Amino acid sequence: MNLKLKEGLRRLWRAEMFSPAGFVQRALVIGVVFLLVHLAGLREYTSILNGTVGPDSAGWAGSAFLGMTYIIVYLAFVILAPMLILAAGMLVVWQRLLNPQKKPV
Amino acid sequence: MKPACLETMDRIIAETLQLEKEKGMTFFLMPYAKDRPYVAHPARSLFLDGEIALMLASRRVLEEKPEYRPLLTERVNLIVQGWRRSPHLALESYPDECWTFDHVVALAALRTTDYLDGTDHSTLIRDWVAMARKKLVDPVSGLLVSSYSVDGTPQIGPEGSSLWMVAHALQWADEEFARDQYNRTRRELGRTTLGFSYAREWPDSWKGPPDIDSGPIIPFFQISAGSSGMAFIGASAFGDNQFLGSLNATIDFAGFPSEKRGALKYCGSNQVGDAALLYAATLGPVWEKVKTGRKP
Repeated sequence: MNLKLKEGLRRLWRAEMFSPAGFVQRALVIGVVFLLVHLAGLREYTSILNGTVGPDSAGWAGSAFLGMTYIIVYLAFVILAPMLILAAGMLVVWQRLLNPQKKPV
Repeated sequence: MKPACLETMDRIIAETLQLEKEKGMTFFLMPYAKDRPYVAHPARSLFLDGEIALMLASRRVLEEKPEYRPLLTERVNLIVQGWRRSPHLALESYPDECWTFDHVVALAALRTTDYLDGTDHSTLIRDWVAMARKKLVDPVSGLLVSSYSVDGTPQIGPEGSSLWMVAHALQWADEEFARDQYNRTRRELGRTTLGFSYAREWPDSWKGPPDIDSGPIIPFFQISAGSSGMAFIGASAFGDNQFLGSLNATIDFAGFPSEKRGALKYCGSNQVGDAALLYAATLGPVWEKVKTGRKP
């Protein structure tokens, strides 16, 4: 990994919450969490929506937990993450309009 | 495609008949079917007879299979005899529980048998529809109730997981009544929010709990997975493309589709739900053949 990319990631990680980089950071975290739960196969447990337990012997409580986890993370990925990205873009434009000399973070 | 579909249908029919023969009709029913005796003797479930008859008939419309003809005739005769013995044209699916859903499926089987074998059950079909209009329509919503006792007294009111299919199967019996039921169901139970459509289980005028048919009901919006899945059948059968399109948007967004090796399933659904969606996507040709009255 080159130094410029490392530095960029470090700045992103340390970004303030209500900043363009902070919004992007949270969107990325949601994306990564979604990728993990998706690859872990939790999508199958969304069968709880129709009152059916998930695959194998997870039982009702286990299926409900895994299914609800997937649904919450999925909704965050499809609704919240795009909003964060859009907000970051709007904030960049806003900051550039207010202070054209300063580089937004 | 057709040989593969025929093979699948034959396998399902054979397995169903075998299980019924080996384990009896209660194998396909919920445990409470054994809690008390059926009113009619010998005990039969219209749930089983109607659906098996329609399975056999639909398969024969797609392509004739001579060995299914006597099986269909026998099943239809049992239904007709039961109806003729019942003063209220009410056959049980469960002990003293007669389901509107099962009756209209049986009507569709009778009408399809008439098309296939040249029989005439039109009087019986007409009589049942007249009885339903008179006794089974909820006075507030104008929707058909879901279940009633053998003396024709309504038990459970209008519910979405039943009504969409009821309206569709009624097309075989009385198209005008079917269209009226669909329009009312659409108005009372169909909802669209921000381009996403779904269906409620109960109309405002009837309070009922979630059950095995409705699935869990999501509060506030009153979304029922069972009713929403069955709504695809209603929308498809009555050419309500706008509603169908927005139902599709919902299931693509919240049904959690999963495609593996060219096969699509919805993780948020189950086998019954997937079957309902497949039926909604393919229904039409059999009904068109039966309606136009062409012999195979």
